Amino acid sequence: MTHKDLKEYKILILEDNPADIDLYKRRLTRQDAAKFDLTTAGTIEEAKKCTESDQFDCFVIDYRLPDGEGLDFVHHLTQKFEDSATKPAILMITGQGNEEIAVAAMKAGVHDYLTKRSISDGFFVRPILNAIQRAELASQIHYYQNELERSNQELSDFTHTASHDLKAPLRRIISYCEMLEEDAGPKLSDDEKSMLSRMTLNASRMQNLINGLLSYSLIQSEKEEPEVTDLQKMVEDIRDEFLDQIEENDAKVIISALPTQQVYPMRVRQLFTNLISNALKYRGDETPLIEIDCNIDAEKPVFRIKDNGLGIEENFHKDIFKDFKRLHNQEEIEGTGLGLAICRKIVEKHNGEIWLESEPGKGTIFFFTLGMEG
Amino acid sequence: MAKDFHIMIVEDSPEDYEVLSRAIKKAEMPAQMTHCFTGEEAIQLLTHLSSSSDSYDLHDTTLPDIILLDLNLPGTDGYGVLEFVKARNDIAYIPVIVFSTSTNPTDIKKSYKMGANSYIPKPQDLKSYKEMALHFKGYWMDCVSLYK
Repeated sequence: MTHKDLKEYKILILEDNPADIDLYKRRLTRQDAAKFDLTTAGTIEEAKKCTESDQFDCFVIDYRLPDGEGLDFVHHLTQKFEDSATKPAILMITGQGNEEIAVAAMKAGVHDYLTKRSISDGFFVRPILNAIQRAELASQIHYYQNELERSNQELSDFTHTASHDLKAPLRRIISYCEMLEEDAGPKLSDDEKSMLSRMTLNASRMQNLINGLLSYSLIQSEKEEPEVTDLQKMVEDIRDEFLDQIEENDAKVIISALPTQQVYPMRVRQLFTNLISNALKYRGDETPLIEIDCNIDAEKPVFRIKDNGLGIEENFHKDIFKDFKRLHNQEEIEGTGLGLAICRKIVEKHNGEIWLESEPGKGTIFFFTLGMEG
Repeated sequence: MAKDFHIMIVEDSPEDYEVLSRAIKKAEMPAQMTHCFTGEEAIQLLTHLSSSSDSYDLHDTTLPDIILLDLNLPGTDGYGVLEFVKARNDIAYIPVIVFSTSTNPTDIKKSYKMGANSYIPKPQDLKSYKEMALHFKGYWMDCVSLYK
């Protein structure tokens, strides 16, 4: 590599001792790792002026200066570049054995610190280049973080718009079908009535699908905070919401020993709701018996929802957690195919796992964990 | 002679207006309905009605007793209309009922904060529309006192 190809960096050296400045200059010019364009300032005031007119890749700051501490200037810099996309590298030069200043400097946002002794020993160019590289990486991370936040926001805006814009026309189609049924009903033949009710039925299915998709996409984007939640109480509440269906089926739902723990409450409510709803929906010939419990004392508590319903063939055990996967025809049992996919997503959001044991005719047990840490 | 109860409905969708007015009629609400398609139209009409004197009214129309307001409108949206009504001393007393597809808590909170007197999510089917109209009638016509 010729000297011309070397990358050039603009450096500001804040140092009041002419002898030290000389030393730094010598160290930075007599080497072939990079080119440095040096500016020097003897006071903090002077350095502040330089930053107003020029952009620097790196600041090398002495810890003691005629008009203040080097740290003051570090604070000035971190404030100045707080919202900036690219942040400069900052190096502090401390006296021998002055660890306290070094620690304070690192906390204030300095990338590295050096002693004058180590610089005169020849240890200068590498730390500067490392600090510049670290600052560049930090700027990149900062950039991607902003991008990520922006795209999350866009996704959640999109979901909101989709909910509004997809739902409204559909709701109108349903209303108009129903109005037609109301007004023309008596004049229609049975075949015609059946065609009309097919239209209404399918529009309603579409509505359920959209609602399902919405809650599915909201799981990741929604800004719900985790809360310590009494799951026993929550699941008992959910059981009450299903009271009509439970009485209709003469079903029994037994809930025992559920813990109180940190979860995303709205999501976990949906998880239990979906699983209980499935257990009631896919009932077999026997009177439905649903048992919900958890081995609280185990190192890794596992929740269990056991039913005596239709059961699921083993070759479908993996597939049923996939989006839109259904094992039954719409005509047999209504559903969107999103219920268990939503369950899987909710469990994953809690760093948990979901699986099942089931045999056709012998019922199903769903197991899941809600790890949460990490 | 105008009917007893005058509802202004601000709704850009002709379909939603038809379903709503049908439900109101089915609920046997003796109401006069004025339909505005846009926020601008509503603001213009309210401005006109509030400035014309009581004794002389060309259109045989008075200020509405109640305003049913969709949020998602082209141009000036429902919030714009709500803000207009609640900021004007002479009409701020008129109850504004937001009537929207959105069930987003942000919209609900914002509406109430801006002075909405109720927030009704648009029903999903005709049956729920009719139930809503009956509740609406029971509350706003039989239960509460409105300023006349």
